[in-house]
Amino acid sequence: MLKTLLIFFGLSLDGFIVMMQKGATVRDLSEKNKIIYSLVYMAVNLITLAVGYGLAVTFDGVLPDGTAQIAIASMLIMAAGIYIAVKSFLNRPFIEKLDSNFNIYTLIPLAFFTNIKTMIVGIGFALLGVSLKSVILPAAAVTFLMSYTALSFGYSHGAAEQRLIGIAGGTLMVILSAYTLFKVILAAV
Amino acid sequence: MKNALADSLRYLMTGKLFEKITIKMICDETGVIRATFYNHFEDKYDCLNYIIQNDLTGQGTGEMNEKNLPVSLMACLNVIEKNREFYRRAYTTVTGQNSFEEMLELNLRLFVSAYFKSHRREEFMPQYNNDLISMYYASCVFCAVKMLIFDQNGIHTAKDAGIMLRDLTTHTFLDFSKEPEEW
Repeated sequence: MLKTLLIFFGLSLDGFIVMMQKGATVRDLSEKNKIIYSLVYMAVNLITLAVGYGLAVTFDGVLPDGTAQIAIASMLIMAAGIYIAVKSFLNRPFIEKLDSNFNIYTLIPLAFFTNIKTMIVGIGFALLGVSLKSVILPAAAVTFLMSYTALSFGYSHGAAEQRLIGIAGGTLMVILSAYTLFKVILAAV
Repeated sequence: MKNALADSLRYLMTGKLFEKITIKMICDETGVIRATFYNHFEDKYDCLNYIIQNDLTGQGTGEMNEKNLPVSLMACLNVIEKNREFYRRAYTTVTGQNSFEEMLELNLRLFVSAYFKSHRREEFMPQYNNDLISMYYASCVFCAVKMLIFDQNGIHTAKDAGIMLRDLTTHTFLDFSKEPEEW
């Protein structure tokens, strides 16, 4: 469970960057709006997690069982982690430019686009045999808290240290999934 | 407030690279919140552009006319000379897509264009529109400004730049050519 939470935490650092950027580029950000935006982001995050989970369950008979599933899951999560870390490393410096059109309706597509990796991780969790019910509440809590913190931080301090945050999140996911994969390979050998 | 924010950015640029300067730094230096910054500017590039605009036009003697054009230009060159270090730093550190060089050139073009809009002799060579002649003469002013900023080619002071501009814009290419009859 701890490993699952840590993977989710690593994943949520990517969302943290996005919400921090938004906090840094809105003119006014009230407490009410921070809570609403965080709830919306959390909702989209959970939906994509559930969709990924559902996709894995749908194709349950297609994929090989047991060790192979765990290996595939680990590689999927590792791939997501590598993508996040590399994207953060290669990203150009962020220009804090006023976004006067930001609202719930622009946040929703942004959240879906950002959470494609969450869908992949959802598939990974399903293949790892993690129960969706056991992960939904912690995932919701982590996502909400990270989004709220990111918006607050971005608004008061700007979008700082994005590269470091992204690399840290991606690296955490890579390390944890590599550890799982390593255990699987060892068991197979 | 706009001037205060612009002054803060100008001050911060003397000690930090432009890309490292954040909206928060500008706000903290000015003593205002982020919302105030965004009430006046879209981003720090917008603020930098305002500095250039203000330096080019805000120091003039008022409405531009042919009697005042040399005065307006000299005032502009004096401001640039006074802030030479800032301009030098901006020129070398604000590069890429929204480069300082592009901003400066564009604002100079607008500066010259504003003059020709109200003071163009319409009957003289009407085949060349205001945009074209503004672009042409603005590039001359830009050349002088760049030399002033970097202290190049003997252009050490605003006076030197002003004399160079006067000499080059009041004489033609043919005046400098050995073989003018070829034209």
